[in-house]
Amino acid sequence: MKQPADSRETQWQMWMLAARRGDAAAYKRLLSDVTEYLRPLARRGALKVGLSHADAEDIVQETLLAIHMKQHTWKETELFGPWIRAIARYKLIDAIRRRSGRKNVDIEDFTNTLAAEPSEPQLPARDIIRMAETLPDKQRSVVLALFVDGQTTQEAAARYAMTEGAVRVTLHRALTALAKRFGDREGNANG
Amino acid sequence: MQTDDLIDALARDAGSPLPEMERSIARSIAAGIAVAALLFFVLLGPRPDLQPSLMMSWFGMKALITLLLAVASFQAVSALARPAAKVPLWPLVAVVVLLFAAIADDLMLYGTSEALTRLVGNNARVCLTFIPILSAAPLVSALLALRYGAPTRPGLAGAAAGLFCGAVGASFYAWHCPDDSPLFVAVWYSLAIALVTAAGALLGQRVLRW
Repeated sequence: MKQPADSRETQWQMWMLAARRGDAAAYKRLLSDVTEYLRPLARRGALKVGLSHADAEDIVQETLLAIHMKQHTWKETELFGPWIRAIARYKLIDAIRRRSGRKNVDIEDFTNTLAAEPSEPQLPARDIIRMAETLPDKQRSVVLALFVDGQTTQEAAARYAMTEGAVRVTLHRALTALAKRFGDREGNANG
Repeated sequence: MQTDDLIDALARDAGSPLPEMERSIARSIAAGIAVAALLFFVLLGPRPDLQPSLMMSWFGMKALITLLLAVASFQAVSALARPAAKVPLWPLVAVVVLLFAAIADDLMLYGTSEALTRLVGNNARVCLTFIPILSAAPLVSALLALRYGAPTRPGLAGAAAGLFCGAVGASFYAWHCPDDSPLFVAVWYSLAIALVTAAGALLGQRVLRW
């Protein structure tokens, strides 16, 4: 889901402020979107040192927990974006270091807050493309647009006259269906 | 556990009262400073010639500069306790400038002929011993306090804590220290504070991880 960096962080900040006033739904939305942001970073960092997607998911959870436990260190007079990116960077590096035993961990530049791709598949992209033929029309179109044509969710949405949200939901359903049908292989070193 | 379940669990916690970071840190550090005060009175005590008139002399400069350093470095500690907070450097620079002004003043008043004598002073060893001793309890309490925060640069946060606690120790020591020359202060107090800063950095690397 590509969004200009500052609009996403502005959105996060609004949700965080609402959460501080007890809005649990806003907090949930914040954490979910932050997860979408963290997951690709964790996976790429993990894969670089030979860790698995399961490890990456554990690392994402650790980072979420840290954000939750240390939320009192964010002042409402400060920007939320730099705060959360600093925590994410610290925790991701620390978690990967601990699990891999490596001292130098290469994490993406955290000043770039754009999530580069939609929800990660749990299958290697090659297999997804191959198996997409078995999907119903709409799901197949979305999968091919994203994985073969390399379009963003925004572009795919425009192409098929859907909303971006609908594209993401359709993608999620497609991947879930594929994962069920062909087993839950972890996308590993070749992905 | 599924990440979604974790998110649900965390969301149920939304809006619960937040721990007061600054207050907790302040309370913790105050306890450490109280111990330092106790140690000071038991081990050293104020210098016998302490008089109001002395506040006008170099002694006053010593007491003031060490106190200002403590205040300036405390701001750095507070900032480094939080992710992505900006560390205010100007207060620290101001203290250094003040020290240099005092040195310049000393050299102008007393000349450079005996400067080395004034610099070496009489009690360098006492200074180097007791400033760290007085800084120890504050440093332990400051490091414990920093665990309430989320220092994303643990070594630097520890160093800031060391700088602050060194300044606290020096502030107490200034009330006992018989060497008044700014040259002495610039060399020996700085060295003692630097030792405590380094200790803070090393300890910070270990105990400030989260």
